[in-house]
Amino acid sequence: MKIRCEIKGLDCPHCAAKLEQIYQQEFGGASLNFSLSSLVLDASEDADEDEVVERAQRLADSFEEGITVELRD
Amino acid sequence: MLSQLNLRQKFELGYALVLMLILIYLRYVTSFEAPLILLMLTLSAYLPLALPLLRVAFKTLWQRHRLNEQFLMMLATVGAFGLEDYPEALAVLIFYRIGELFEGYAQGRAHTEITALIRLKPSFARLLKDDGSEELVKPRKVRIGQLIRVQAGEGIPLDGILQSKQAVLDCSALTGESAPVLVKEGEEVLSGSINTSSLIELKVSTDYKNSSITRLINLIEDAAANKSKPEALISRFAGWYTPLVVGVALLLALVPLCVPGQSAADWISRSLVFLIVSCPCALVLSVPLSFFGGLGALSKLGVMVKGSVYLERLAKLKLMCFDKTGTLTSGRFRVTKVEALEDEHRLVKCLYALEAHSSHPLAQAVCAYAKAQGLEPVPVEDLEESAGYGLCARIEGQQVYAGRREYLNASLNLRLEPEDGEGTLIYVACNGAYAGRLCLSDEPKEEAKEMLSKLAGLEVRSCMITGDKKMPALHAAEELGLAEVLYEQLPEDKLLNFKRLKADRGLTGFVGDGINDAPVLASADVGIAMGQFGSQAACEAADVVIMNDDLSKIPVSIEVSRRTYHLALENVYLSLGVKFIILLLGALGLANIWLAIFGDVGVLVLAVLNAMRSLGFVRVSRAKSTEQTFTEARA
Repeated sequence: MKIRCEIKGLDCPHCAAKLEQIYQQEFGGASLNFSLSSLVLDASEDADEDEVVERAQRLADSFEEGITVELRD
Repeated sequence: MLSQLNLRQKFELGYALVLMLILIYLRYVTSFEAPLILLMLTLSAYLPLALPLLRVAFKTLWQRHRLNEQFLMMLATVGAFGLEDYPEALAVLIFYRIGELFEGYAQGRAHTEITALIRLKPSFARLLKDDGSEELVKPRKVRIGQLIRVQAGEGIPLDGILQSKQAVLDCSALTGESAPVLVKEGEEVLSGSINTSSLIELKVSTDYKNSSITRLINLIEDAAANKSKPEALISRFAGWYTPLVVGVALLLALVPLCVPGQSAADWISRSLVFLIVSCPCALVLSVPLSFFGGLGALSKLGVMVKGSVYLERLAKLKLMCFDKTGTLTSGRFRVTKVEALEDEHRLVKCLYALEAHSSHPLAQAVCAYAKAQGLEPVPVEDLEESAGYGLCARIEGQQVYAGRREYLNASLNLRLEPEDGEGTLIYVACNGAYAGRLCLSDEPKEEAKEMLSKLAGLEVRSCMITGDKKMPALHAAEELGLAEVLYEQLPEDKLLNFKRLKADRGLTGFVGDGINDAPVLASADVGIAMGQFGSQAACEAADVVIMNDDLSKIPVSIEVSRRTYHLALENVYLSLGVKFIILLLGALGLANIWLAIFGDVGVLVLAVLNAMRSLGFVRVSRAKSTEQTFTEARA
């Protein structure tokens, strides 16, 4: 299952690439698109969406201040 | 661009800019000598700008043990202070801020232009409750079968079946076609269209995750993962560029310690040049932006490309193969001749009964023909279909076979001789004996011939691969002016021959109408699916989806891809070239901080502006469509 989030507050594509690597290590599959401010995370079929987003948010917080990750509507 | 700043930030930046100019004037024109006053003045502008950066820089260093670009910038300004180059210290900061603003601006532009689709996606749905009242809910919360309302001018949040009498929709985001679409009661309405008529009601038919607009946006989003060669190269390059340059800067600063008699100030100034040029932002930002702009420009035409790697391949394409039926031709067959040994009426009736169970385009033509004759389908038993050959079943006690000549010969041991006409033939046998045949033909699409000649003009060769018989295939090829044709290809032959072509000719694309071509589409360097967005199978197998079935979009897409690809390469050479020259001059002591600032921010601005040109490769006027829609709505 792919969980699609909106990610805001990133400074530059360079940091985005670094954060993407962190997500890839943590989630197995992750793609962060800086220009679209989108983050797509791979999760198992029965994963709880909110819980995954929360985990992503915590990772972002420890990476840099002022980044928000939210489930996209 | 300046709107990203609040009043205080504007003031700080403006003050620093004015002060920098004054300092330059004092230093280079009047040679004013009062170091303390100058230092105080500089600090008054420097601190408000630098403190937030300093905080971020140390936080990252402390928490993640890495040097970010803010840290490098701060280091550069501290170095400049050490050398008493006050205007330079301010300039590094000011232009760093301006570069940042510019990045934000460029991204904003790209964001709004390319993801106009995402903006189109409504963030709420008007859910109609049982008591007739309306509630605004997130589209994610709406279930299949619930009723929603869409007001005039609003976007449709979820796919649904129209419950109102009729509606006029603007589907340009989905198809690239600006003409308004009229939908009648009971027909399907796709999300992402805009309701240009009055208030309508829909019964939701898909959930949020599978609705057209969400799927389309996912498509764009996933496109980013399929990086082209230059793009992938850049991401890897950026990983070691910064550490390398910073390392050299450090070595340069250490030179005076190891080599006696060298001026420390001179070598520090050289290393500052390195620090300032160390950010790969121009490259990291402008190359993906060029590709992204190209993808966005194409999406305006209704051409969805699933990643810049396919844009690159489209640009370098050598050969384009086409499926015939449904791609080069309209796929709408007409029955042109019926030859029956005995009862013509009964022949058509049996065939109708069989073909009513098949979705093959030929079958649909037979059904349409039979319906026009006023026939009703009779029930069939034990229906068996062998794909690409034919089908058989028991009808009113008789075993009926219909399909290709080979199918009948093989199943019934008949000896029907091949006979070529301009059309496609369906043979029918009743009770083990040949009963007659129908001749069908279809017409090339209007734009097909022009498209092929345009492809030839772009030096892309064309080839037709069809499952059709020799004569109809050659006939169609002649009409279209195609030199290369492979005919009588069954699905597995298609794949085999296509792979051979691919090995011989280099980058090869395939254009098909989806489901039956899926294996070839998937094995092609660029698989292009024709067909409305509704067909999910086509979308998944292909790399490029042309959403309104318009062949003329193919040469246009190739052209735009080429321009985009060249633009991206241009940006690689521009940014790298300028940076390397400045680094070289810096190491030799020939470049000063001003030149380094140009190498950082100047190149960023130039490369990004250049990249943004790709957004304008395609211009679609939408003003006209609104006007048309209004006239139609009034009528």
